[in-house]
Amino acid sequence: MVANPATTTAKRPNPWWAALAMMINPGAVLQNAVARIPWPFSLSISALAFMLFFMQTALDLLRNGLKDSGFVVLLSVEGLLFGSLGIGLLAMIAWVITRLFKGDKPVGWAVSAFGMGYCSTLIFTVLGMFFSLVLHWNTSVAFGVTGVLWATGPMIASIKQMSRDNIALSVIVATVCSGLLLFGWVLLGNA
Amino acid sequence: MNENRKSHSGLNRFIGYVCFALFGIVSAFQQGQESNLLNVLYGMLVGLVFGWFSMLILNVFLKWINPGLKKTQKKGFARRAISTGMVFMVPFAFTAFMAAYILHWKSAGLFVSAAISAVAVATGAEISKLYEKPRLWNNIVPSILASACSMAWMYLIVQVQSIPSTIISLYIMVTKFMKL
Repeated sequence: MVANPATTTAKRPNPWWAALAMMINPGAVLQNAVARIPWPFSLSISALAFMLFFMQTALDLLRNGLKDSGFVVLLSVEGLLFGSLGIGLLAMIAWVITRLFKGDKPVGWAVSAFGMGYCSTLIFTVLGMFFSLVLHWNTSVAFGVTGVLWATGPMIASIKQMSRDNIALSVIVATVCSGLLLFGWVLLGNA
Repeated sequence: MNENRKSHSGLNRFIGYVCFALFGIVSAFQQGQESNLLNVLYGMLVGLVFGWFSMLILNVFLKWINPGLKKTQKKGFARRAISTGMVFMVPFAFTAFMAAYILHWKSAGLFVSAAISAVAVATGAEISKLYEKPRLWNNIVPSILASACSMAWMYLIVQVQSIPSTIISLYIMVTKFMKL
């Protein structure tokens, strides 16, 4: 008996809708959609979000006469690398720790879930770019840091799923990851 | 088993209130106040009262939008869900503390807003688990309440900053009066 592919193959989720839903209901997205979203797409969200965040940090410094325009380019590239390689690495650290405590998710899932969590950061930083370029506001803290903090919620939800609902472990791992993220930004973002 | 869940709920709630107290301390220091015991106690008090009140509102609304669960679940289902949600403030409290005391940032309000939103999302997810088919309201309503609480925090922490200095002035006045 041959199975009908239409009934056996699950419908591929729209990655953009999944990324937006991640802000309101991360648990449902993580359970139903993340496994079927390619990790390069997810990492491109975090890469773009951090690139805009770092760019705004540099623009604030440029506006205040502390840095030149070359610094804006340099910091934007750093943001791109931090949002892709850095977030990928952070996801792997969380994956390794949860794996030691009987976590069952594959590493690709972890990377994809972490990247998707930065959709809210992307929205905040896009808005921040508007206010920075059009109204000449200093936006790196108000929009950039806020956006990154808002991504902590989805990150916790991801770690919770990775650790099979072990709340204590997910809180500890999320705290470690948040600390690494904060100091990573301070080290690179203020270079 | 049930007792175990209850004790975890109490521990989670305690951790949550410690986080609220920490947010209060960090915020009190960041408004140009001197570091003294009065400010620490004052910040802690503001954080705890705010935390208690905002979690009470969340509890009332969660019960209100889930009348069916009142019949099918044991008493205190909303409080248990909130307790689980509150423990997710730990990463925010930790980073807020690091940002304030190591990096000397003056942006504690951002951490509080994000932390309350994380509590709301986590609480919504916990309530959703009690249904066979999750209801979107349980995600939307806590998020709206979290936004309102964040705004209230921003307003409150700035407005009541003058209270410690007022208390000190009153104390000095009273002690001078007593000496006379």
